[in-house]
Amino acid sequence: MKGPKFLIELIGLFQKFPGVGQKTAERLAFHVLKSPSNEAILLAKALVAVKEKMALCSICNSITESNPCLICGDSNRDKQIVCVVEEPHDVHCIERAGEYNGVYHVLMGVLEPLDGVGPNELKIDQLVDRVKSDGIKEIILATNPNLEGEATAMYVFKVLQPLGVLVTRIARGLPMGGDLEYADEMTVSKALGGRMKM
Amino acid sequence: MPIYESHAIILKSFKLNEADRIVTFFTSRYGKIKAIAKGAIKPKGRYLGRLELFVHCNMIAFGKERMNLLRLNSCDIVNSFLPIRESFDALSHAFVAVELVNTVQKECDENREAYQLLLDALIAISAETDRNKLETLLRIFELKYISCMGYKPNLHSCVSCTGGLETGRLGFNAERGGVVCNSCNKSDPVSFLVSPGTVRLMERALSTPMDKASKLVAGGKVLSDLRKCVNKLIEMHVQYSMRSEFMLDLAKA
Ligand SMILES: [Zn+2]
Ligand SMILES: [Zn+2]
Repeated sequence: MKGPKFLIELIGLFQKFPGVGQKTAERLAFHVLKSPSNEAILLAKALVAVKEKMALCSICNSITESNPCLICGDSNRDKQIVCVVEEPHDVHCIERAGEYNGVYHVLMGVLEPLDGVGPNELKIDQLVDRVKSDGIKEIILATNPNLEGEATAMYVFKVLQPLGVLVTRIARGLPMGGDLEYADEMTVSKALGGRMKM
Repeated sequence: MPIYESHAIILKSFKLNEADRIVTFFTSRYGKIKAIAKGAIKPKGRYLGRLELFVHCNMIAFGKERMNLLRLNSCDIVNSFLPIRESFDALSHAFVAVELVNTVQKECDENREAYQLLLDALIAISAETDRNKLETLLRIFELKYISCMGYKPNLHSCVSCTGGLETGRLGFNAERGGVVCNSCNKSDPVSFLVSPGTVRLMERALSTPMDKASKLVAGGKVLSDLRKCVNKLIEMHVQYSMRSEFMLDLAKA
């Protein structure tokens, strides 16, 4: 593409964003170009702040500005229930649903056997320490329902089992608004296996 | 545009971007091929849950001759090996088996025997719950697989002096590709001692079809010797150490 160098650079940067192709990147870049300069400065400052102020909570590894994070520091949250997730982003996804009142533990990844990513690369020891010292009653495993997520959940369960803590796994099955006709065989099996009394 | 239609086992599957996946299939008709699955990650996508590792499926893809990335058109599950996905023990062993095949198998190199071996191995692994038997199955699979790829060890005469093998102490030399007699073993810095039971088990493993291999049993010593022989053979011929091998240690812990 031809054009001023700074514009092409901006388009290139936008294109690195997930789900953004060439056309969308161009639209975004032209939007910035047309918008008032204070808006562009706000955007630039927000981008810098995200990287500079971002820290990981020393208790749960979620992304935070203060340490401990707002969730770990909230006296209204139930500290005896810990939801284990793969990435900091997953905390945000569960919080968005607004149903959960416990705290979190972010593993910072999953087991990836074919890439040699083992438990030492994950925050599993830290979880074990929390269970041993913090009077935790229930661990909810909320890793993704794909092969790596399941493998990680099974491994964490194996490690926690001897500690006598209740370990649960989030239900896997059909999505709300979904359709049996389009569900794959594995999902249907899981949905049947995880059926509940009405 | 040619159509590729075959039964296949998924050897690798990874997210390319927010929407697409690249899937490596070991097909019965064309050997190992790679295909891009467009829109595989969408919540209502037709591929969701179908493009996971180990899945035995019936796939259809399109592609130009000699193009190394095909475009996936459909993928229907024949067997998702649910028991493998639900047991950490079975899963760890299946990972190692699939990694070996994905490492050794060249693209577009049809090999029905190897395909059938892997399929039978996954079926056997998914039906087994005992950890020792799982490892025996895995090692037998590895031995049979590398043999089928042309690296069959010589178990009938000494690979050093070509003499017969008297009963008693024997050695194994992966570099020379097989068993050495007692006197050669003594002066050979590379070979290591193996129990006669291990050599017998390897012979039986090579003559038993994979779908009957669950009948072969290996005790602790034979299994650890077998592990050493097979790992040395793989190291020697494949020049790669399996990344997922650590999963077996996690399973044992
Ligand atoms: Zn926190
Ligand atoms: Zn000899």
